[in-house]
Formats: sequence, structure tokens, C-alpha cells
Amino acid sequence: MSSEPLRKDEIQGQIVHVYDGIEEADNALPHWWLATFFGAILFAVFYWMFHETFPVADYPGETYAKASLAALNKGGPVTDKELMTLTEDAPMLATGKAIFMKECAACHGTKAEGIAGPNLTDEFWLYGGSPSEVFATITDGTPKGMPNWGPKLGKGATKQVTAYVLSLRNTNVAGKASQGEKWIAPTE
Amino acid sequence: MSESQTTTIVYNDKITRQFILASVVFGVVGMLIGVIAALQLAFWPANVSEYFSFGRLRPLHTNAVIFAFVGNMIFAGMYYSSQRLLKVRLPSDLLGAIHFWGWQLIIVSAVITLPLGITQGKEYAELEWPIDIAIAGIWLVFAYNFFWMLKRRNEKQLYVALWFYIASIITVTVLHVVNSMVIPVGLFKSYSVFGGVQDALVQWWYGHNAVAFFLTTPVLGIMYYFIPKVSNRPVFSYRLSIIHFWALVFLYIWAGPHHLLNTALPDWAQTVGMIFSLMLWAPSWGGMLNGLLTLRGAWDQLRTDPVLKFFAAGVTFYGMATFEGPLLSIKAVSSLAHYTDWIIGHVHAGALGWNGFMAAGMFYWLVPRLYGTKLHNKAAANWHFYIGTVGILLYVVAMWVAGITQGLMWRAELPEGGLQYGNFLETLIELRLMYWMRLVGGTFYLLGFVLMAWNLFMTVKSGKAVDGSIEVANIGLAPEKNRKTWRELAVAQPMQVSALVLIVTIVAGFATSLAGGAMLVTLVAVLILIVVFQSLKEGRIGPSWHSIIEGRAGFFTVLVVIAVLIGGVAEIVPTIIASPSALKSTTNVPYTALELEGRDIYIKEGCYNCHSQMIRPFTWEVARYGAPSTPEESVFDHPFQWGSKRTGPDLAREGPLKSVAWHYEHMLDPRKSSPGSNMPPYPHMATNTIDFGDTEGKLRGMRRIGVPYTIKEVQLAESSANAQAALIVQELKDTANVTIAANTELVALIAYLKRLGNPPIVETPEGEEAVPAAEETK
Repeated sequence: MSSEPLRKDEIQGQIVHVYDGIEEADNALPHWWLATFFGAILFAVFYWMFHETFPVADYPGETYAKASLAALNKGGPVTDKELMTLTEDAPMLATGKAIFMKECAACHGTKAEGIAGPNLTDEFWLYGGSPSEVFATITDGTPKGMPNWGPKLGKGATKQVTAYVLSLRNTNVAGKASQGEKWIAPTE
Repeated sequence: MSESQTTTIVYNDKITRQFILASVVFGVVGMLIGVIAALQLAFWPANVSEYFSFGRLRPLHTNAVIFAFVGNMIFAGMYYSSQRLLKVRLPSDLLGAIHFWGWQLIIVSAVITLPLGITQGKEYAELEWPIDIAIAGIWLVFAYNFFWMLKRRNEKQLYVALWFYIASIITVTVLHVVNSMVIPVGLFKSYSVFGGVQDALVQWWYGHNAVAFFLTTPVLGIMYYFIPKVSNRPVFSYRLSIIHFWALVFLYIWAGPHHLLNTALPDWAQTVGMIFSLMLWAPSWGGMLNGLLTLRGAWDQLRTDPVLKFFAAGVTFYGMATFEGPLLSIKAVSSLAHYTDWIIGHVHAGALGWNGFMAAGMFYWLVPRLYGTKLHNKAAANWHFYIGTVGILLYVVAMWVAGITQGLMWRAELPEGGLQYGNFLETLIELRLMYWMRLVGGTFYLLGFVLMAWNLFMTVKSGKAVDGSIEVANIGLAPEKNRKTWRELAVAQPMQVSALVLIVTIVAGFATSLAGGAMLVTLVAVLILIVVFQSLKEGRIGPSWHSIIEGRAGFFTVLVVIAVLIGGVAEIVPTIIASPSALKSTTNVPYTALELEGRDIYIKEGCYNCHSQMIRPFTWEVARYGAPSTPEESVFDHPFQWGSKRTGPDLAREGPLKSVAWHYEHMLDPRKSSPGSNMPPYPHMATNTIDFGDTEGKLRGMRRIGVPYTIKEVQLAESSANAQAALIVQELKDTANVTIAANTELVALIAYLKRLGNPPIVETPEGEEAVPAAEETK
């Protein structure tokens, strides 16, 4: 930076520095630029608040889960194929698991190892082990005392909890001894 | 003061000449490879050999353009301008020469290894670990020489160009070192120490900031030097340069996760990536404004001077790309654009428009001066500008059309449910014309560049190398009166305000309650009040705090380090902390020995350049590929292979869908099973063999970075691979009457593809966990 007095440029205004012959003016920032700068910061703050501080807006995964539940509530008769597809759908399983912990764990145990109700982690089933039979059992309940969950949960949520139960099959958690008949998946 | 004596300082301009030459040569090479790759996408028979198939050429193209073309260009510009801005010769010519020749050697090693399929499989960081170490070493040589130059400077105050250089050198060092952390399992093979989500986050923190601190900030510095120099006009605004520099450096580093929107990355990290990208818009445009508004009063020169034409257009393309970037970072926009050619168009607007044109402007101005002559042919330079501009526009428009078309086709659902374009190939074939148009655009651009190479060569021939010099009075910096201590600078008001804002923001960011919301609102109010207060405060006495630190290179550098580290630490550390528990609780199972070998083939062939393994939570995406991907599924993936582009379909759940016989056919002749596909054929995989003797070492390496293989699994790797390969060979024999050797690459790759989305069911009793590696080895 030279020590000579700095000139004033007719367009850029007062020069404040000179480096290697490069002059530097010091104009005020354009207002529209400031508006975009602070506008974007404000937007960022509010966007964060909507999603994190007060999670009022859904994330893509949540939006998808809600849409899929709505889709599950519609549609025709439940098929084995549909239920087996759900067992590979992680968000569905997570919802199914949450329902299980809330409603089913009291009788079947948090690990589905069986308490009053049977162990759900083996290969043996009292009321049939095919996906649609498990779905029917949960929907309609059993004579031995399991309530009919269908009306309470709705079709979609029942499918989700069925998918979760099916995903536990053969995980063989130590617990209540096996009851019922061994179920073998039909070979295609 | 004593009688002032003047000393003549002769600059080292040889190094600038060398780097310019290298940049032009590798620019032609890198762009030519780009044109070939574009041809391959439009016309698959252009995949002429195993070594030059698209999956291997595309990384060579990106590496050549980023690190060879732009790399050499920024070194040329930085060496030239820094010496002059600091009024000092480069301290060590030897270190400069080591930097130059070392860098060229690294480029040559990339040109050799990438076609051979020697790769880490991480985008723009493909080079294997020995080369990575060389890069780090050469970069430190460069950094040492640069900071030594700062120390010996004869100009007290640092001009804004130098701020950008400091930030670039510091940040690239950090990015490269962290992202290159691997465990070697051979001289040419290594695995990233990060896996799955973690690796994705680190990779795109790196990948995004390679764009930021390699392709952007050094070139902004170059812009700040050359635009006022060439136009002979004053820089528009010093205060704008302060605010946009610090905002850019601080905000950029956070924005990486915008490459991973709607994926299995934790939602909070995605949100951070999006909002920081949006906040980057104005700071980026600050750079554009300071470039363009400097030309106020010089617009008439644009008609006659090709150099300023290139600069003005380059800065305009920068403005366009940095508007498009934040736009694409909005989650909803990303859901359309991600995995499509729109992203390819976006990068090329930046690379061809901003980097390519800034380079051309700089070369046309510098080369005549460095050789004491005039540009050989000004008309040719103007023609270069017009051909190049048309080329960029054709390229970018083709990619916009292709990207948006394909994005819309992917998501088109029928009213009664199901996909309108259920076959992926329909959406690809639709783009064929655009792929040819891209090729035309790219070829135009290359022709313009070759024209420049010729023009510069003729210019060099007509002149003789001359080094610049300057007369400097009083070598060294005069001792300051009332020199502020570091402590005084560190506790000054701007530091207090910044620290306060940061702390409140971080605390408020964690809050998930009414109190948190209240704090956020207060924060915003405080921010606004500070700005208002600052703007009202006039007639400051003495130099401002910022002008003091501009004269204190060490303090300035430390502030830059802090500014760039905050974002990286805030994003990456939480996932690293969460990693051990994620590994412990996972129900996923590591790949078998053969599957791991197959995965290495997948990486070697660069399959990730065209195939993703990350299904996003959208109904249309689930309908096409299956359930959304989870973090679990890639927890053992070192490196992750989520991909960033779908020229072919997603493969995350490919395993159960196709038979081994299908894959066999498909790899030998993709069009037999997929008519209209542009995938290269891979006949060599049916004959190239794998030495399963090395597999044990690979599993051992994986085990050391936390993948829970048992000692027994590691020891039995070879026999396990042979046994599984024999099963696949038998199945191929039975189902397709094909005879293939068990140790071929194709068999391993099929094993891997069959595993995708199809993890084995393990029957381990609850509560029994795999013994952690550390305990077992004791």
C-alpha cells in the first residue's frame, strides 16, 4: 500500500487501498443484495425451526410413511405377497414395531418372546402362519382372549404390525415354549 | 528513518509459465476425454476397450479437468499474483520446482492408474493411497512456500485475493487428509475407514468443498487480481469483499449434504445442507458483483478486448451456477434433479463457464506479458470466445432438457397407480438426442480451447521469456507502533459478536422446545440490531479491526482455520460418534469373501458412475426400485456406493430381481437383455481372474476398520470364496449351459449383485453379539 494520498474515481468513488497498482473503492452494498443475504439467513432460521425446533413439517421419509399408510388403508383383500413386500420396507416395519410395543408387547413381550400370548419368534403358529392368516388373526382376535385389533388399528396399521410380526419369524428369541403347528413357507 | 534505499526484486515467473503450459496441455487432454465420454453415452460402441470404458474414463475426465487443468491454472495465477501483491520473490525456487514437477507426476500417475481400474471409488477422490500421500506432500510443499512468502512480504496489508488463497490452501489440506483416510490392503488397493452414512457425509463434505475451495475460492482470488488489473478500474467495494469472503468461507463448508438430500442421511444433516446452501447464494453473488461492478466504466473495453470478454462471461456464468446451486439444494427441487443430467449441466456451467473462461482470460493476458510480446492473433481469441460460449450453451441446455425430462418421466405415475414409464430404458432412450447435442456442445468448447492452445503457442514462439521485477524501498516490514497483541485482537468487538452469535446459534439449534424457538427469534433480532447499530456507527477513529488483521497474516490464517473447521466438525463428528453404536446394533451381515471381491470389481469398473444404490422415500421411486434404503443396509460399505447419477437404474435391491444367468448375459452384451441400453459391454470380466489368495488380507483390513468378520471368517476367506464361486458356476451351468472359470471377475461380481438388497437371514440367538475385533485379537 502506498502512502501517497489516494484519488477519487469518478465512478467508483473514493479509493481506499492500492495494491500492485490495483485500486480498491469502498462502495456501499446494494440493498437488494443485503435483502437476499439476510432474507436467506432468516429463511434458514425458520426452516430449521419448522423441522427441528418444533417439528411441525414432515421430512420426506415421514411424508412417504403417511402416504403409504393411506394407500394401505385402501385397496382390495390383503394378499400374502403384499404383506411380504411390507416386511422389506424399513419405514413400515418401524411403524409396525412402534404399534407392537404399544399394543402387543403387554401380552407377547417386548421381544415377542411370549408372556400370556405365544412366542412369535419361532416357526409355530396356533392360528396359521401364512401372512394373510397372521393378518386375519390380528384383525379378528382369537377365542383364547386376543382382542380384535382390526377395528381399533384400521387396515393399514394392522398390515404394518403384521409385517413387523412376520419379520420376527425364525429369529427364535428364548422365551415361551413353542405352541401350535409348524408353518413351512410354500415353495414357489 | 535512514536514507531509503531501493532494492530490485525479480519475480519468479518461470513457475507461472510452466504451470500455464501444463494447464493448457492437460486442459486439452481432460476435455478430449470428456468429449470421448460424452460420445460413449450417446453411442455405446465408443467403449472400445476394457481400459477406456465409461466407468474408468469418467473419473479420469473429472480428475484431469479439476486437478490438472484448473489445478495448474490456479497455481499459475496464485504464484504470479501473490509475488506481486506481496512485493517479494517466491522464497524457494527449488520448492516451487518440486511443486510443479511433483504435481505433474501425480497427474501422470492418475492417467496411468485410473484406466487400469485402480481407484478408491469415491468421486473426485479416486486416486489410490500412494498417490494420495504424494498429493498431500506436494500440497504441503506448496503451502510452505506460500506461507514463507507471506512471512517475507514487503507489503504489510493483504489484498483480498490473498485471503482467498489462504482459505483455499488451508481448507484443501484439511479436506484431502480427512477424506483420504483409508486402510491399505495392498499397494494399489485400500478401503475408506469411514463406512455407509459416515462415508457418504465425509465424501460429500469433501466433494462439495473441492468445488468450493479448489474450483471457486482460488479463482475468485484470481478474479480479484486480474479483472481490475486488466480493465485498469478500481475494485467496486472493499467492504463487500470482507463480508462475502467471510460468509463464503464459513458457510460453504456446511453445504456438502445437499448432495445427499432425501437419502438415508439423517434428516438434520440434510436440513443443514439445504439451509446453508441457500445462505450461500448472496455471498457467492457478492463475488460476482465485485467482479462485474469493477467493470463499471470499462464496458466499452469488452467490445475490443477478448480478455475482458472471457472474464465478464466467466463471472456471469459463476453467478448463474451459484444461483442454480442453491436452487438445486432445495429438497423438493433435488427430488426432481438428483441422479439426472441436470446436475451434469450445472457442474459444466461452472467448469466450462467459470473455470474455463477465467483460465482463458488469464492465459490470453499473461502469456504475451510473460514472453514480452503481443498476442499472436486477437481475432482467433475472439473466435474462441464465441465458439466456447455457443458450446457451453448447447451443452447446458441439452443437460437441462435431458435432466428435467428424465426426472419427470421417473416420477410419472398412472392415476390408477403404478408407473407410466415402468421400464427404465424408456426414460434413457428419450434422451438420446440430447446426448448427441451435448457432444456437439462439448466438441465446440474443445475446438475453441485448441484454438487458444495454438494461439498461445504462436505467441510464445514470437517472444522470449521475461521475468517481471519491481523496485522496493525498505525491504521487510517496518516495526509497528502500538502493535496490537494477539490477545487484544482476539477479544475485540467483532470477535465477541461472532462468538456470541455462534454460541447462541449452536445452543438454539439443539433446542427442541418453546425455549429453543424463543432463543432463535431473539438471535435473529440481535443479529438485525447489530447490523443496524454497525451501519449507524460512523466516523470511526483509527484503522478498523479488519484492516488490522489484514496486516497480520498469522492471525488472519488462524481465523480462517477456525471458520472452516466449525462446519466440518459440527457435521461430521456427530456421525462418527454415533458410528460404533450403529455398528453394534445392526442386524446387517458383512459381505461374504466372494461378495467383497465382487464389490471391488464393481468399484474397479466405476459402476457407481452410472448406478446408484440409494432408494429415496418417494412412492414413484419405491414403485420402481423397492422400499426406501436405510442406513443399516450400507453400514459395512467401505467406501459407500450410493452413487450420484442414474444413467442406469438404481441397484440397491437388484439382487432378488435377476438370475445369475441374466447377469451373465447382461455383462457380456447388455443390449441382449436391455435393448437400447448405453451400458458398456464387459466381456473381459469373464476371462480376467481374481487371486483369492489376497482375499484374506482384504477381510483383515475390513475387520480392522470395524466390520465384524470373525477371525475364522478371515482365515477361511479363500476357501469360502472358492466354495461360493463354485455354486455360481454350477448354477450358470445348470440354468444357462455356460461354462466359466470360478475365479473370474464376472463370477465375483454376480455374487455381489445377487447380494444387493438380499442380505442373508442369520439365525443368531438374541443377546449374542459378535465379539468386537479389538477384544478378540488380544
